[in-house]
Amino acid sequence: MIRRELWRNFDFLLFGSVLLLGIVGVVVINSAIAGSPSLLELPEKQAQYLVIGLIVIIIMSLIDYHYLAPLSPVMYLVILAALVVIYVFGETAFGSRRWIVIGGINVQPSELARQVLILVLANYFWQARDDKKGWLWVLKSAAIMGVLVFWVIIEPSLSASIVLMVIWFALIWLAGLQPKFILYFVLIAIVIVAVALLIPGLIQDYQMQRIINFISPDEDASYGETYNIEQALITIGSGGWFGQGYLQSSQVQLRFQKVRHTDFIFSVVAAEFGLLGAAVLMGLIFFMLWRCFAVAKKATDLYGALIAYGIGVVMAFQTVVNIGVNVNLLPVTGLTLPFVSYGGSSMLSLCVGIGLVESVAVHTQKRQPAA
Amino acid sequence: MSKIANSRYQIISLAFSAAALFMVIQIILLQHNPQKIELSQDLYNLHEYIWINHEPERGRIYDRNGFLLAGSKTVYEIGIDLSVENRDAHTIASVLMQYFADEYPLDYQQLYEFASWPYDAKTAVYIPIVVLNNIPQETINELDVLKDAFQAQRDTALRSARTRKAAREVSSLPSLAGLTWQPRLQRYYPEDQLASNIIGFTTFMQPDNKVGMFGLESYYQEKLLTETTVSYISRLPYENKSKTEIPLGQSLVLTIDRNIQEEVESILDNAVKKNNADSGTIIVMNPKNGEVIAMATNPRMNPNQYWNWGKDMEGAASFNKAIGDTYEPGSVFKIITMSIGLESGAVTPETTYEDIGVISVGGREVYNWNNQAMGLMDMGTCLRKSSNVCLVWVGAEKIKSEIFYKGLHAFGLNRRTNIDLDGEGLYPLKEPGTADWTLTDLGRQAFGHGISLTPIQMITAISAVANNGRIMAPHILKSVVVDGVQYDNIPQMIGNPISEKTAQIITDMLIIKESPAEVETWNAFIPGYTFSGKTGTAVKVDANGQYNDSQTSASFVGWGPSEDPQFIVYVWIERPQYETYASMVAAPVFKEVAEYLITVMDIPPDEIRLALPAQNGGAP
Repeated sequence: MIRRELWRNFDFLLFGSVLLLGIVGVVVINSAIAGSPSLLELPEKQAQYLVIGLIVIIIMSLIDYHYLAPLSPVMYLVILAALVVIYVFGETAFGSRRWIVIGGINVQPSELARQVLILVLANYFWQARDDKKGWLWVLKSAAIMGVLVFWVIIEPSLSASIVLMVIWFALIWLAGLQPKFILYFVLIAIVIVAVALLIPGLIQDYQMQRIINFISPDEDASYGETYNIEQALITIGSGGWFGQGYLQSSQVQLRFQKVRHTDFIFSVVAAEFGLLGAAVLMGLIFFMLWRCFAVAKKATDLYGALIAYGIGVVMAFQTVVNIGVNVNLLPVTGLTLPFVSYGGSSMLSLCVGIGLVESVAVHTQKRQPAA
Repeated sequence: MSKIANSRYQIISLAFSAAALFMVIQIILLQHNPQKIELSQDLYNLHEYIWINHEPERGRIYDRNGFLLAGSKTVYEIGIDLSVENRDAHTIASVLMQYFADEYPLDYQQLYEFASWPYDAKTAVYIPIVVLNNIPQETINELDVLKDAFQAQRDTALRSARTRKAAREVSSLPSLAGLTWQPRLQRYYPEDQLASNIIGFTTFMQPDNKVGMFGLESYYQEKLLTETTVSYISRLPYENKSKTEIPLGQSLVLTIDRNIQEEVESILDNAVKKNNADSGTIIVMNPKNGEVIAMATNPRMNPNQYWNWGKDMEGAASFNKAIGDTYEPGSVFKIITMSIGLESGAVTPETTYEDIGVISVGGREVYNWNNQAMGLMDMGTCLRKSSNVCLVWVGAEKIKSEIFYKGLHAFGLNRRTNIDLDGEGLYPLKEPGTADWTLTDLGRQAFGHGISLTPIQMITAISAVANNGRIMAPHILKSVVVDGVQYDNIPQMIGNPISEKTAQIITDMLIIKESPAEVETWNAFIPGYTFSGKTGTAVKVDANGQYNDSQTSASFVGWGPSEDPQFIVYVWIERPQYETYASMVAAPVFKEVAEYLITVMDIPPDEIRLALPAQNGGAP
C-alpha cells in the first residue's frame, strides 16, 4: 500500500532531472580533468557519489518529513557542535577550517548546515505561523540563523554564511515578512558591512582582495588574483554558439583553466558545448528548481512548503552565484554548481535536500484526506 | 494548500529568472566582445608553445688524417632538487665542501641554506650551484657511488629496523638525496695546446655566453655554431605540427697534419729556448695547393684553460704570431726584389755589379750587413751573399719605382692573404702616393727593411718561387662535414707574379750547398738533398726607437726538393739572445724541420729521385 502510494506521489521529474544533471556532471568532469594524473579518478568517484546520492534521495523520500520536526532542535545542536569542533580542532585545509574527516570522507558541516537550517527555520515558522509577525518573530528566527552564521563566518567561509542568510531571508519572506522590514534589513546590512570593514581580521585578506579585484580588476596581475576569472572568461569566450566540442577545448585540455572540475565547471561546459550547451544546462537546472517549487506549492502545510521552497532557493542561489562568478558578474566564491561540480560532500548534502523535497512530495497527498 | 501567498513565490521566481537572463546576456557578450577575444588570443599564443633551449654539439675539428683536435666532452652542473623531501642539508653541504671547496669558492652556510631551501612548485623547484657547472665525469662518478652507498646504508637500516623508534632513527643516517647533476656538452681540446694558435678557443665555461675566440673557432663560428637555439613545441596534443630542430655544428677537417704540427712545435720550442728568444713561428705549406701543413707559434696557450691565456701568452703581440705579427723581414725579402728584377728584364742572371760596400739612394747611404765591400758579383751571388748594396742597386736603379711596386702588388704584399683564420694582421705598404714616401724607402725595401709583413704574407709570396710562379691561396680548411657529407675546399690560385722560368732561376740561385764559402745557408744543408733557401736577419728597433744590432729578427725561408718543391718552410725567431744572425739561428731550425718532413713524407734522396724517369715533367 505505502509503497504504491509512495511511487505514485514520488516526483519522478525531479529525480530524473537530478540524475541527468549528475550524469552531465560526470561527463564534463571527465573532460575537465584534462588528463591530469592527480585528477584521473575523479569522474569515477563522482559517479559513485551520484549513485550514493540517488540512494540517499530514495531513502529520505521514505521518511515522513513531519517526523523531522521534533528532531530539528537536535539536528541543529549537532551541526552547531560540528561547526564548533571544526573551528577548534578542524583540519586546516586550503587556508580555512571547513572539513571534518568522518570515516575517510571529508565532510563540510557548513554544507549540511543549509539543510538543517531549512528544517529548523521551517519548523519555527510553522510552529509560529499564528504569531504576530513583528520584531520578536523576526529576531527569534534571525537568532537561529545568526548562531550558525557566526561559526561559519569564522571558519572562515563568507560564501557559506551568505547562503545561510539567504535561506533565512527566503523562508521569512515566504512565511509572511512585512515588506517594511526589508528596508530595515538593508539599513542593518549597511551598518554590518561598515563595521566588518572597520574591524581588522573579520574579513580575510584574500576575501577582501577578491572583492577588490572584482570591483576594479588589476590589469597587470594576469597570473595573480584575477587569473582564474580571466581564464574563465577566455574559456567561455572560446566556446562560441556551439562550442569547440567535447574534450576539445584548448583552454581546458591545456589546463589553463584552474579549478575547472569544481568552481569553474560551467566555463568548461560553455567552452566545449558553447552557448547552446550552457543554455541547455541552465534549462536543466531551471527545470529541477521548478519541480522543487512545484512540490512546495502542492504541499499541504506550511512546514512542507517551506522545506521544499528553502531547498529550491538554496540551489537556485548556488547556481546563480556559481554561474555569476564564471561569467564575471560576481566576485569569486567557493559555491559549487549543484550536481555538476565535483565534490562528494556537496553532492551528498544536495541529495539530502532533494530527498527532503521528495519526502514532502510523497507525504503530501497522504495527509490530505485526514485534514 | 500551503499558506504562502502566490505573489511571494512569484517575486522570488522572478528574481532568479532575471538573474538567469543576465547570465545568458553576459555569456553572449563575452563570446562577442572583441577585446575579450583578443585577450583570449594573446594568452593562447603565449601558452600555445613550450620553449625549449637546445645546446647543440659544436662542430668538431679534425686534422687532415682524422685526428680529433677539438670535440666535446660531457660535464655536469650540480644542483639541488627541492622536490626531494627530507633532504640531509648538512651531508649535502659538507660533501660538496669536501669535494670542491679547494677549487671553487664555496661557503658551507650558503650550501646548507640551498640544500634546505623549501620546495615551492611555483618559484623554487631546483637550485643550481652556479660555480659547480663544469664538473667532470670522474668526479660525478665518485659522487654517484657515495650517494648510492648512503642510500644503501639507509635501506639496510630500514629493513632491519624492528621498532618505530629504530625506523625513525634511519633518517639520522647521512644522505645525498636531492643532490643532482645534469649533463651538458662542453668544448674539449684533446691535444691541449697543440695547434692552439690555429684553433683558438671557445669560452665554454660560460654556458650562456659561449663565443669562439681567435683562429678557427672564431673564423668558422657560423659553421661550428653552438649558440643555444630555441625550439617551439606546440602544447596542443592534436596539433603536433612543429618539430624540434637541433642544428648540428659542421665539422672541420684541416690541412694541418697533427704529427707534423707536433714535431714542428717541438722544434720551435727548443729553438726559442736554445736561443733564449722572445718568440718564434714556423709555417710549413704545400706550395702546390696552398695547404698549411703546420703552423707553429711560441708562445702558445692551452684552450682547455683558456682563462689563463693572457698569462700563457704574456708579451705576445698577437694570438697567432704566424699571421698576426708584422715585422721587417730583412734579407728573405731579397727573393722578391730579385724576382721582380728578373721577371721585368731589368736584370738577368748574368748581370754583374761591383759592390763597393756602400750605395747612395735618395740621398742616404746604405751599407752591407758586415760593412764590407763584396766586389764584382753576378745576380745569383748577390742574392746568396745577401748584399744589401747590390739589391738596392737592383731595386732603385734597375727596376725602378713603378715596376717595383707593381711587382709587390702582384706578390700580394700590399694586402692580407685572407687565410681562413681570425686575426690576420696587415701593416700598410709604404709606396709612392702614401705619406713621406721617398726613393730611400724603395732602396731599403729592396733588402727587406722599411716594409712590415706577416710571416704568412712572406711565405705566400715566396711560394710563387716554389710553385712555378703561381701563388695558391693559403688555407687551413681542407674540407667541411655538413650533415655527414664531406665537401672539399678547392685550392685556388690567387696570383701569378712571375713566370715559371724566373721561379726556376731563383730556385737554382738559392740552392743550399755544403760549402764553408756559403756562410749564409750552409747550416741549412741537408746531406743527399737539394733544397733552396734564403736567410734574413733584420735589425729591430729597440725600446728607444733606434735600430739596435743586438736585437734581430732571424728568418729563413726554404723549399724543396728544388726541382719539384713539395713543401716550403718559413722560420722566424724573434730577438734571439746568444746568436743574432739568421744563418746561426734560423737556418738550423729549417734544416731540422726539413729533415723531419723528408722522413715523414717519404721523399727519396737526390740520387734515387733524379735517377727516376722524369715524372709529371717536374724534373729538369
